[in-house]
Amino acid sequence: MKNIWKVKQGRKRKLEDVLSICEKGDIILLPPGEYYFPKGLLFNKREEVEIRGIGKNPSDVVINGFFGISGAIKISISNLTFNAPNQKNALNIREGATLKLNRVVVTGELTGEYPAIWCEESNVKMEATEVYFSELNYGFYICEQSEAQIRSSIISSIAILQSNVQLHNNQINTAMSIENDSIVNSTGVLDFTTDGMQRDEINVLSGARARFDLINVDDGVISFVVKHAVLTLKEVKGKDASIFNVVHNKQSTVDVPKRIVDVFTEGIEGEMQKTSGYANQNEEMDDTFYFDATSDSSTDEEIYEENNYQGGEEQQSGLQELDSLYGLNDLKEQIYQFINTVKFNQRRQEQGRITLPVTLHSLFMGNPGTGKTTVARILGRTLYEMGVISTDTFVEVTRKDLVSPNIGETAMITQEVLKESKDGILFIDEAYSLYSESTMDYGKEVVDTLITFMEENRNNMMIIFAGYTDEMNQFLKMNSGLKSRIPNEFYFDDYTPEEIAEIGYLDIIKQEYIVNEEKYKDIIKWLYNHSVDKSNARWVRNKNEKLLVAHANRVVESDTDDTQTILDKDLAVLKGNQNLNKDEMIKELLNQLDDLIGLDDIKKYVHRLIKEVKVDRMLMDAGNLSNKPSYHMIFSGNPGTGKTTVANIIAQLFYHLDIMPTSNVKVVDRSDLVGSYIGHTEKQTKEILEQAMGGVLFIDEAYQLAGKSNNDFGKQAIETLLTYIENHRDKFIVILAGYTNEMDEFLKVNPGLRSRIPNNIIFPDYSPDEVATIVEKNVTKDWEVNVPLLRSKVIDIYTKLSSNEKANARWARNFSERLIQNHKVWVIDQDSAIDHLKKINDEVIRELH
Amino acid sequence: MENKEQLFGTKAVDSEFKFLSVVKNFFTLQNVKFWLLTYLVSFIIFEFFSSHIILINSVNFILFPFTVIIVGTVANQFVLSISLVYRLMYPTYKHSLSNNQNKVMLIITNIIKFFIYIVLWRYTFILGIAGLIITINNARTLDK
Repeated sequence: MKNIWKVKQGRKRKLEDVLSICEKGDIILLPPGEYYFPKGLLFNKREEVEIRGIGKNPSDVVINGFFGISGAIKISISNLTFNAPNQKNALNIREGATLKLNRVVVTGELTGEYPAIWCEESNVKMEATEVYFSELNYGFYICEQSEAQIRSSIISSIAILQSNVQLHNNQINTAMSIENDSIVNSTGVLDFTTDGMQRDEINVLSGARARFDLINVDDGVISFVVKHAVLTLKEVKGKDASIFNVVHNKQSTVDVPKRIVDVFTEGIEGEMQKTSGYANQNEEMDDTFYFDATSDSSTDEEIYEENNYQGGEEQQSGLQELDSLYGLNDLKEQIYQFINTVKFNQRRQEQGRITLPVTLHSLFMGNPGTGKTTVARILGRTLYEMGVISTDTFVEVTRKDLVSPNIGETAMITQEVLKESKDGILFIDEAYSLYSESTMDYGKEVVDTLITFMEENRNNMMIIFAGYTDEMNQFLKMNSGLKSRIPNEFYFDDYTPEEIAEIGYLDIIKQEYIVNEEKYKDIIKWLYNHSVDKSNARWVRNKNEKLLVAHANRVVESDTDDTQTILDKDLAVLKGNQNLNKDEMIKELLNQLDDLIGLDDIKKYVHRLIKEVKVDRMLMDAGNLSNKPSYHMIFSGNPGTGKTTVANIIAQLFYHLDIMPTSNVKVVDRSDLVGSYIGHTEKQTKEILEQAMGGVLFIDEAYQLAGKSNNDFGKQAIETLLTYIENHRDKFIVILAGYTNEMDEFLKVNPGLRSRIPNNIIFPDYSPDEVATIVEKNVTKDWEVNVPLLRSKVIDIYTKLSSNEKANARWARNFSERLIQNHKVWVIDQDSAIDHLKKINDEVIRELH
Repeated sequence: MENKEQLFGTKAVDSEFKFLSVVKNFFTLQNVKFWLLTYLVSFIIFEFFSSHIILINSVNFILFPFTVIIVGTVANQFVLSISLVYRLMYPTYKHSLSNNQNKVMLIITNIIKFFIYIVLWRYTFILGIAGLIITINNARTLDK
């Protein structure tokens, strides 16, 4: 029963007493008056209560004190007023708590140090509520993956960090800050009152995304500062004196009604450049135009024409272009430092002082698609613009452009390339390929030629050696003088799946296509997470190409005029299995499993596993799965017990459950993994593992990997396998199969494998009756036979077999084949009539042993 | 822009009394489980007395949940002072407050409680109306 508790003032039944006895769902009524909790009231047991002031207005019931709400509890508060005590929040919500506020007035403390409401990792729903705080600081903090819905409320100032907030019809008095990957969506109107101040500010920073349907400001100036973030502003309203302006850096995306809002782009050295002005008086007004601009329009027009960032007619400077590249923040920092050193030297030179010797030659290390070539081009242009190099020549070469198959020609070819790129940039891609252990390789000749040239031209040209980090380190060992002549090392980190999704999305948008952003990014992130392809941006560009081909095909085939919108069904091509009816396929596969003879425990296990996987998938989609689950398995059992068949079904199931991107099962054994000489095994195992990525790797007779001698190469295969299991645990599934006892021994001596492969499934031997059923099924498919006789014969023979001859289903298959062969011989010997060809005679069965 | 006071802040919610809102409060004051359980118990007792005066029994059957509400409210007054009264009267078959009570005691308490509620059921035509008035009053209070 839900109770309604009425708190009494004085000693009798205080709020604390009621809270100690109330139960889930109870309502606590607070009659008009003032209540004091200077030491605060903490809600931390599992509760779900509602606290209501029963005055006519919120100001009739006043709580002087603070509420601390933490843990998995839900508290609703309505129709009352909070006054925070000195140096305390009025409401402090933490650790997954949920707080609903309706018609509540919250006034923060006076020092301005402790916000009125602090919400951390929690949920807040607020309606018709007012939050007041000092102008010195933000009055309402929503941080660390909190969720908030705020409707029809007044908030003096709000800071949103790493959280999602939905706003509808709210008023902000002074400032708003949206930071650290927060997402804010404001529907209805967001009203700004300057409250006597001249300026209100909205900061959108560090990966945040803010979308406002309508912002209204009656008086004063409203400034948006957007850095490394996305701002979408659909509409603004204001009186004549109101001015909206947006300042953003190059890493931000700003979509605002430009004819009304001043947009400034921040330059590399901090100076502001205006990139679009507001209303040209002669231009036709659009529907979203609500106020007149007050600035000198002619000046704005000039600046607009000069710097219109959307037009792109004027080429950006090298540094601006570098700044506009998505991500690569550490690298940019490295490059700025490098450029500053060059600048510093130039200044000293101008002043006639001794300069530091600056060598321009550089190493670019990182995986493919991380932007090495793009950055090299930009860097070249920047150095040219700064006058460090005298031409903007950019020559890109690989080993084949430098090495000749003919003796004596290599040095000549290399010299030619160097001559061509002199005073500019020479970019040697995959430079490590010049390294070879063979003494006969001409790569060494190239390096020798380069070294001589580099020494003579270290200040006036730049040679960039690019390639994978490990291989490049190997390359540097090739010649002792090489490393010292290339002092600048730039590291290109791999992009995260989120960055890849963003790059892909920006690429699509740049090509003027429209796509469902959320769905596109989800698919790209999922695919990249499951991919071992390290080609970064190149990977996503290839995916985009695939997507655009599918889109183009659909447009032409369906004869539609909309060539711009990429539909969700076009996105299906990225994942491959989107057009299939997955639920039906899963059902069919489980039926296939259930149709297998015997294996009851295995069937139960797989059914259970599929349920687990489904929940994992749901949790993953909701972002609530911090540890990625491991589905690697050990199949122990004798030959012919159905291990490979079950592995195939599991691979198909995981594919249709969207856990794995392919349904491939790669079946291998020791001979496929273990090589015959040093270094061979690791390479061979890696190759196999790369081929198995995205699907299932089934290692049959896996115990054979543990060789008997200490020098056996099988150990290297196990070590390589362990590294892959550790580093790519969610990118493929390993199934180790083998005899029960041998597998136990194998895992005992390899504890690393046992701990990383938690699922051990034992395939029991088939009983003679089950073997008879398999034989019956095999034979009756194409032949007529005396089934009771056949079954009894099979049971009789199988029972008498020695244990090492009992090969389960494999024996059944061989037996069936033998029976059919004998039948064919019998038909010829007996000169049987043609109509008896399909019927196996009892005599043939009886003769079997 | 229209009147901002009506759009934002505590005055954005219409605080006028609304009949429908009171009706909604009336039914949501207790959850579905409460209504189902009390009507089930009421039906069992109704069957027990079905041979008696039909009209009064029908009224008792309908108003019994409100008797339960009023008895629960009264029991709550004793929760901190006389816990035995609370335990015997409060409408629940599980007592979270009495951790030291063993299962046998709980069964005995529930049996006694059932008999108390049989007696109360017979006077529901009076108690139920009082409970109904209290519930309506609560629903109106919550609408303020």
